[in-house]
Amino acid sequence: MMNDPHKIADARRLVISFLSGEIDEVPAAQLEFLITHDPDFLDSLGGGASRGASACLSPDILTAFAESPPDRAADMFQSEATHLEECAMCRFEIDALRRVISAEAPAWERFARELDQNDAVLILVGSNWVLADRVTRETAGDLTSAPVQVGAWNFEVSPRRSFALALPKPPLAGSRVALGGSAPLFVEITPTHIVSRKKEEWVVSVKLGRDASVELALIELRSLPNERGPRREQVSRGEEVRFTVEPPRERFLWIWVEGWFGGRDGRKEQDLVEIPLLTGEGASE
Amino acid sequence: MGSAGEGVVLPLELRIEDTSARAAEQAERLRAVRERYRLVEDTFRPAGRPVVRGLWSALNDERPSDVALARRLEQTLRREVSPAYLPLLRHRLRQRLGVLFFVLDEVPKGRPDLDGDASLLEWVEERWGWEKESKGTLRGLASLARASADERTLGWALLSRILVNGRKPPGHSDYDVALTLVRLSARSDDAEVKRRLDLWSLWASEDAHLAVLRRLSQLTGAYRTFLPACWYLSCLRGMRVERILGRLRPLESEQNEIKYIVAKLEARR
Repeated sequence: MMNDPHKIADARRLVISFLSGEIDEVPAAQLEFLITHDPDFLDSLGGGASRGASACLSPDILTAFAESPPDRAADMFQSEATHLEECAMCRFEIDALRRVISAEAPAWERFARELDQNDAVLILVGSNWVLADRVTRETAGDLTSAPVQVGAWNFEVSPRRSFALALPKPPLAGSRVALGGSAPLFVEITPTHIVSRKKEEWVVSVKLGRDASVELALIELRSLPNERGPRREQVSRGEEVRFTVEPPRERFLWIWVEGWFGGRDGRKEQDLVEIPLLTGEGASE
Repeated sequence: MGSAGEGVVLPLELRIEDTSARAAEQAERLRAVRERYRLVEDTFRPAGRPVVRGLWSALNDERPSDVALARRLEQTLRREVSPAYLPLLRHRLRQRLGVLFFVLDEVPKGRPDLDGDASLLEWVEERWGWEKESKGTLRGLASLARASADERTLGWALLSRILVNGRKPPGHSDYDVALTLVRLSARSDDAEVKRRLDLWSLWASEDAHLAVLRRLSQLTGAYRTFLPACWYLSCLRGMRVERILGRLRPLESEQNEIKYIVAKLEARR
């Protein structure tokens, strides 16, 4: 049986009109026609209203993929990248986000220039990002009570700002090199607010690069350089480990790394990597 | 030859029956999707609803770019529609549809559902991020979904919202839409539909009933969040306050507000 594109389009239009409330019935014959000739269309309907919604990606992950190039997101979210290959809805969202991001880029550049011109940096106080003097680190007056979000898109007041983009993107994400270049680390820090427990936590993800010279590494997260963290995790090349921690007291986090060259019986080296929790100073790449 | 011919006919018959059954199943699913959308649409401000409707059609259709969609909506609505505004609306639309998905699809399958919508809000935050000002809207939507969980339609939930929000008269387009949802889901001999519509009309027309609703709808916080669902469960479905609390599962600190609402409604029942 031939698939008549016009007939399919007509049947689709009827279904869409029904969902929008323009008509009150889709003739059974049209539905049967779509079931036979265009079942994917019927399955894709609903925008998350019914089955399939739980599989779709959250806005912050979509935003990560919307960045250009999306390599980092693909590296950090591998299973989600697989989902993207199959989900037209998520690809559609990403395309829309890309357009908004490119429209917003000049505003970000202006903002960065303003920071430079005013010798200001953005620092984290509690869970808020505030403007501070680049040298003294003193917060700049009233801005302490009016936090500026970093990695987000609402640094200037605009009721039309996209909420999806106003979400704190992973504010600190980038590469660090440990063990003299033998252990490249991809680090991502995401502050989260846990509603049910009414507290804040940071999720710190550390991934050992696939091109690492060490075969194995022990990773430990420290809130002070000489204070051991609560746990150590072993990772091999390309693997990621996540830590959930209280918001740090200091303006740095430290990652203690112990790496093996040639397996657990091979040579062992240690390193301590400092992560400054400041933007504009190399923490965010 | 004869037996070979019979072998061909039988599978064909089976396939036709199967397609009809699947068409009926799809029709039911589409009806539910439409109802969910319509209830969600009602949670947007009236001025934004035509744009949300355009987004809804676009989500189900060829998914044009936001720029193209904004242009199309501008032509249809004859007003300015900024493409930068659309991601926010689409995000909220999907977030709210997600609330219904959680309560109506996930909870029956056994997903944990702590009191005070804690699990729901955590799920929403995990997937969609947190937006403080949406909390009341999301919880209000969830309460209506909980009130409707064992019903055939969300039409009554929509009618409850319309009544409480003061958009009453039969003939008003919102009322007609809700009524259509109810009728599409009703069986032809459903006397319960008539009983409920009569009750609704009574509350929408009698001054004393209207005064109760007006006073309650002026309250804020949990009162505002739960009022439509309380009216639905107390007045339309005749539930007592203990069952309503069990159904809506508020925080302990919110129970008094619900008891107050229900007591006021019961006094007029």
